[in-house]
Amino acid sequence: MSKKFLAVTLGILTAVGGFVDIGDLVESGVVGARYGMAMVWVTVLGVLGICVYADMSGRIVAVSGRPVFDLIRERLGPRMALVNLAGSFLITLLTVCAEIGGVAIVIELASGVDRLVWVLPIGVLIWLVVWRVGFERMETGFGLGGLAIGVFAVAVFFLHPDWSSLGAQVAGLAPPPDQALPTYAYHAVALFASAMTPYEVFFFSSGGVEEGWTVKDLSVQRANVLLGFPLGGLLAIAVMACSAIVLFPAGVDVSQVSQIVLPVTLALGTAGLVIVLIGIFAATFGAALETGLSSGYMLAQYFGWDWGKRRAPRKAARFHLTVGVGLLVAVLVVQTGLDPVGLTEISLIFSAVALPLTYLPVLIVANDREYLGKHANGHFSNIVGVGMLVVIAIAALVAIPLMIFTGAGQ
Amino acid sequence: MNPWTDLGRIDLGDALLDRQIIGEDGTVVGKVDDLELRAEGGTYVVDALLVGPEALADRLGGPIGRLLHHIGRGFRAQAPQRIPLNAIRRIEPTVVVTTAVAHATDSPSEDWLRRRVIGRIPGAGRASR
Repeated sequence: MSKKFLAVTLGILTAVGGFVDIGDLVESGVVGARYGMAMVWVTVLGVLGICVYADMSGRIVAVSGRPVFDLIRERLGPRMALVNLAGSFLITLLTVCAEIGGVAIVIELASGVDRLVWVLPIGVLIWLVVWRVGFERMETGFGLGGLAIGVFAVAVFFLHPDWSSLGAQVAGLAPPPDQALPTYAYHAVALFASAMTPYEVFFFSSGGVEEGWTVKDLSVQRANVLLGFPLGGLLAIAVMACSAIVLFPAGVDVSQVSQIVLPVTLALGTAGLVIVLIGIFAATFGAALETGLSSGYMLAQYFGWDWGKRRAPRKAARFHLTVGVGLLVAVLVVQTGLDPVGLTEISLIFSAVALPLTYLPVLIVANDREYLGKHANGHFSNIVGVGMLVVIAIAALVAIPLMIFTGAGQ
Repeated sequence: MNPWTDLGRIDLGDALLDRQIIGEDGTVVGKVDDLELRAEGGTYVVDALLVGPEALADRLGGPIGRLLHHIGRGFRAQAPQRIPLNAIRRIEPTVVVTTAVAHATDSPSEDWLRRRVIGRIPGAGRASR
């Protein structure tokens, strides 16, 4: 019973700490303030995509005992896999920067002391958790902490919104008449990328290896995905709704994390603010851990090194060096004082460009009967998977042109 | 022991190259970065699996290959590590080799980092719990 319970928390962690990380938080807030609830469909699409692909990578791990990236080089050859590695690695480092920036801004909001003071201590703390804290303890702790973000959903009710108007915005699908279509498309791409951030797949499947999943765990893993990710998606929609209720009618353009938190304070007072800051701290810190570890997972799995938190660090020296150096680089980048919201948006747009690099190999390996046997993709997974891949390819192609054309969504 | 004795034609690129190699005791060795071939009576015979950045570098080619070659050189001057084909126990599809060979094929860069950097940090000997 308790082992099953623990296994399901991996799903909830990846849902809350991974689904709602700084990317979802910022982009859902920005989009809600700008377009009301008109972009709920993008989040729903993103949740569907991450569910299908996380299910595939979970199956790959449970059946073959090997994480997704481990198999990419075998299937695509060393050159193509190296291009893939380089792209995914850089995007993941960029995401580490965005998450650390998010943790720093939360501590600034809580303490009133400038965020740049906190960057180095945060980096050291992340490294200490990587070095010392066990995988299951880490995921349970930050997973449960991240659930505090649910206070956004509570706040929605306390704000007494006009439900029919919110519903009309959801059903509207299109941008409000006074908003330009390219900017709308730009934010749609960023929001979609926030739901499908590439590191989630690497972390999810490597986490399955850390926990030693087997075919027996397949049903638990399915439950993780099908409960965890939609739950994370609902939280992201709650963040969007808070912005849509308070900031959208006032015509506020979100440029700071404090603006995203404001509706919760309005609805629930200081208690709400405290809970939401705890939730965002847990979610962004957890995501910083996941992305930091993911950078090490990718490199180790391409080159065939020993890796993982289940090993003593001296048995996985190259893995730990990669994670440590990655964290150091991220700390230095954030320390330059880049704006956390801007950094997050940039990381999302470049994630969108890299999405096919991550998801195409998953689809290929999930169809490989040598590894998966009877657990290889069925028709349903393949139809939804290919459909999502078309959406992913379009998002990847238009991301950079839209960023240039709209001046990054201005 | 040749795990393919009973089989017909196989594609080496698909069946062997870039596969993960582990020891029978679970020791992680590396990837099959290249194969050593020997000409024999008009055909080629696979003699050994090659492991290490230099072997991979030669297959990648270009500036990236050269960079990888230099990194490999930084830790060791000799050629990549060889695993003779008769050390292979089974293919499942991970390549499983004998424990003795797995331990003998220790990566010089891993070894150097373990002794000089990671191993010196307190707590390096304990897995996180």
